[in-house]
Order: sequence, then C-alpha cells, then structure tokens
Amino acid sequence: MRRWLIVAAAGLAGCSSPVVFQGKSTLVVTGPPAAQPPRVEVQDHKIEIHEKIQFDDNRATIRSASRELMDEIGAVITRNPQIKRIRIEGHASAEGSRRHNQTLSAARARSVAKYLRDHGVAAGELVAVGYGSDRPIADNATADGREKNRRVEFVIVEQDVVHQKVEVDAGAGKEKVLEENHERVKEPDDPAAGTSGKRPARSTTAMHGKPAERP
Amino acid sequence: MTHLHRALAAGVVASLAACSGGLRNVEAYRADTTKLLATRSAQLQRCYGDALRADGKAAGTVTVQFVIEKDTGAISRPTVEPAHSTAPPALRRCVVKAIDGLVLAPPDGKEARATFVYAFQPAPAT
Repeated sequence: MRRWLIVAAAGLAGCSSPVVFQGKSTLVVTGPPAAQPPRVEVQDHKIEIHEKIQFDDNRATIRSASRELMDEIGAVITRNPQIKRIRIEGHASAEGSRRHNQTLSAARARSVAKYLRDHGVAAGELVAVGYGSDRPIADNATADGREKNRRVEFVIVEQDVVHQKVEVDAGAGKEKVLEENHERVKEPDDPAAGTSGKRPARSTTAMHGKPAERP
Repeated sequence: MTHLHRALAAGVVASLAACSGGLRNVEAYRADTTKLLATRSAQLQRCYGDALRADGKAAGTVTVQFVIEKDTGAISRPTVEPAHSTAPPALRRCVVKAIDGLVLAPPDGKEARATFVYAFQPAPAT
C-alpha cells in the first residue's frame, strides 16, 4: 500500500509542476532605418551635392547613372524660388594640360546647365563656368585628391532673402516678428573678384524662414 | 487486491488523466509561445522607435520572464531580469507592457514559466 501511495504522490507532483523553458534564440528587434541625409541641399550660398555627377571619361557627357541625381538637383532648384541665379562651376584635377582641363571643365559645366534647362529649370537662372584645375580643393599629388578636384559646384549668385527682427518671449519661449525686410542678395559673378559681395547669413535665407536679426 | 488498493489505483489513474490535460510538450510550448510573442512585433518596433528618439544610440537586450497560466493560456507576471538586460529602462518597461495580456490559444492544462531574450539593435547602415 505504501508503494501505491508513493506512485500516486509522484504522479500528482509531476502533474502540478510547471513546464519551464527558454526561447530558442534571441528575438531581434531592428530599429527603423536611419533617415538618409539629403543628397542635394540648399545652403546659404550654394547647393551642396553629396554625390558626384559622373561624366564619361574625358568627355562632357553625363553618365546615365547620374540622371537621377541631376533630376533631384533640378527639383531642388525649382522648389526654391528664392534662388534667382546659379553659377555652375566645372573643376578639373591637374592631370593633363591646363588648356584641356579648362576646356573640359567648361564643357561639363555647360552640359550640366543644358540638362537642367532641358528638364525645366529656367534658362536665366543658370550660368556655366569652367575653372579648369585652377581651384583645387584637395592634393593633386594623390589619386584621391585628384578625384575630389574633379567636380561640379553650384554657387548661388543671386537670391532673395528675408531679414526678420524677432522678439523672444523669455517666459513662453515664443518668437514674435517685429520687422521683416526682403532683399535681393548678389554674389560677385567671378569669385576671383573676392568675397566682398554680400553673403546672407544662414538664418537669413527665405528658404529657412528663420529670424535673421535679433534685437 | 483489497478495496483500498483498488481505490488507490483508481486515484492514480485519475490523477494521470488530469495530467494529460497538458497539450504540449516543452518544444511545442516554446514554439507556440514564440509565435504568440511575434504577434507583438509591431508594438516592440514602436517601443524601440521611441527609445531611439530619446537616445539615438539606444540598443541592448531585455530578458523577460513570464508565466503562462494553465487553463486560460494568459501571459501573466511578466518581469525583466535586470542582470541579463542591458537596454534602457524605458525600453524594458515597454517590452513588459507589450507582452502582458497575450493569451496562448488553445490553453494548456499545464502552467509554463518562460524566459525570452529580446535584442534591440539599430538598422544596419546602408
């Protein structure tokens, strides 16, 4: 009889004990993809392009791989009507003759301007200039440096800006616009003439719509 | 066999029959629970999104333990095991909230005690 009792007790004990287990593998939760920085963005006095426009070797033909980028540049210009004039600057590395680089960089700048005009950017907004290898931004002694020097830049030479005088309520942290002035700001057509032209401060561009002058 | 012996034998048989109310073995319990937890993946994504908004580098693990009630299948008493969790506190709390109240269907005749580890990691750079 004792044996029966033990069996019964063991049976009941096994029945009441919980099932214990662990997950077979770690359950991975991946975060949302990080917001991509814009490929083309308007800055104070230039349109910054975080990707290179690709051309056929030694030619001014824009490669098809860059068409999407070119369309994006056109769209950004169109979306920013405060931009009135852009200088498209072609630059070359020091490889090859000076004259050839001058010709090629100018042809590439014109090619970019033509593409943008053909895709809806007003013709009057664009001026194409070739600077050859005269304005390097990196060391021409290295391949990496030469690659950086081969580039196209977009300089905003004319734009409308808004100057605002703003009062900030220290308590509520709210801003109140006291005065607002609109101004057409021009860069010198040739940067070699110096940088004495009026340059809008970051906060003054109409695009940003932020206060420019604070009392 | 005496009457007493017969009665005891019947008791053992009855108790074993009651035990057979458990539908799942450990593997099946684990697999079904994993599927159940997966139904809250959207909430967990939101938890992590909130954590990343608070701290762009938020990441880490949350080891969570809970009971699955017999007969109802309800997940209850979810708790975080701090010694095996590295995620920020707000994210740990959010995980507990997300899984609390889940119900395993069909329920099992046996209670279960489960431990699962969540790993929160940022999306790979593109």
